[in-house]
Amino acid sequence: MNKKPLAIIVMAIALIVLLSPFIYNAFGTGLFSKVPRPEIKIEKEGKCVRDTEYMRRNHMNILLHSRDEAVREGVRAKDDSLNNCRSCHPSRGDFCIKCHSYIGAKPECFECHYYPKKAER
Amino acid sequence: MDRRAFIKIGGALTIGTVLGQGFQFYQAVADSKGEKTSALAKNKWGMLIDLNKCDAGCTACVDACRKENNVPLFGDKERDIHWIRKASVKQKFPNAREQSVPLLCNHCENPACVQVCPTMASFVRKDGIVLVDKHRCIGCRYCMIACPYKARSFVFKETHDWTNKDVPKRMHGVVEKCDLCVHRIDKGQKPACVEACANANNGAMVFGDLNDPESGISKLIANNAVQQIRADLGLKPKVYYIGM
Ligand code: HEC
Ligand code: HEC
Ligand code: HEC
Repeated sequence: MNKKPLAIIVMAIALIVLLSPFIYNAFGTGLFSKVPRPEIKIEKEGKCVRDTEYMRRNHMNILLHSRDEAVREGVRAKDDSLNNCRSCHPSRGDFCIKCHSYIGAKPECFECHYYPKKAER
Repeated sequence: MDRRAFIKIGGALTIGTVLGQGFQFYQAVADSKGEKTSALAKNKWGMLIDLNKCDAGCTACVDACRKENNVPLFGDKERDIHWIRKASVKQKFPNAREQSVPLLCNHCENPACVQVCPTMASFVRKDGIVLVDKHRCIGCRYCMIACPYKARSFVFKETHDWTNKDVPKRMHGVVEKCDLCVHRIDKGQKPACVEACANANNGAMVFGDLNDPESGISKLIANNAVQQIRADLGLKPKVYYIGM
């Protein structure tokens, strides 16, 4: 009995399964475009404290770094303080939470730090 | 591949990985270009309280502190948080007067609380202020046992009053105490209690730099009989009292 074709088919299926994440990423946005994206609201036009691209990836590092600097060394960078985010992104619910609930991040900061879910006017 | 080549390639990969990580970390904390202030090691902040000027019925310092730092009162003696409180001290001698003494964290130079802290959440800042990093505190309360001044409080409950929204509130499970209003000091202001005391026309509290011989507080300490509470413990407290 020749099992060669069967083996090739099984291997091909296994290969597709293994590569599925890459396929998804390469073509997925077109194929699966129904995946909802977080709709964050930018209330103040202009620029963030760093480039947008950089902020998207690194805002948590900026916050944690400036937090340690401020509390431990007394170096207070006005731009990087948590209170400053509030001045341009006044509503946590429409901005931070929209993104965080999408990816399931739950930073425990706002029991202590003032950052209302709804913008105050 | 012989052994040499293998070790060479392995070594190069290790170095590359380490350097790459370091570089990434360096990038991640790229500094902000904006406005900045910083605590200086040349300062040594301290406080002097003139008990002769302190009015027993006045609670201006306590009230101002509670307002500035959102320090709550639950009406439950075992749970209440105190950053500064007024105790009345009676001497045992006949007809000795009763004194009202404001008590706060003494910001010791050899703080017992900092030595026992297992997470380095309690620490001495460069300018001599003893602080609790609430982001690090795990609420073990060793520091509360170590502190001979009972200056620290544990947060048992969530609180809701938020009188000063620029200052963080608190969360159940951390220890806190007077921080000499660091957020104000870093802005060049005096602690809220000192300001309130001056506004209440008592002027019993003086705040200043102990390292500067020309500062008001250094001159007062040099020219008066000052006392520290339990100076014998060797913790070198930085809150001085006149007339105790
Ligand atoms: C237990 C309460 C508590 C929690 C929880 C907390 N903080 Fe803080 N935070 C504080 C206190 C107290 C300070 C000191 C404020 C000061 O000195 O002005 C502070 C200071 C800071 C500062 C520097 C001062 C400023 O306004 O920029 C930053 C940044 C900061 N925290 C970020 C965070 C982030 C991010 C989180 C969540 C991961 C967090 N904090 C969670 C209590 C808390
Ligand atoms: C001067 C006003 C301003 C301040 C202060 C500010 N931001 Fe922004 N931020 C913006 C603007 C405007 C955008 C949108 C930029 C764009 O669309 O290109 C933005 C974008 C962002 C994004 C990316 C959103 C996206 O499109 O994916 C993040 C994350 C972010 N900000 C976080 C923060 C944090 C955290 C702080 C506090 C340290 C902060 N911002 C302070 C104005 C500000
Ligand atoms: C563009 C989407 C986006 C926006 C907008 C956003 N975040 Fe984030 N945030 C993230 C992502 C992604 C992470 C990483 C989560 C992880 O690593 O698990 C994160 C993580 C964090 C963390 C660290 C969480 C942790 O558990 O260590 C903090 C703190 C934080 N964000 C604060 C903020 C604040 C404050 C704002 C609003 C000013 C904000 N973020 C807005 C996407 C966003």
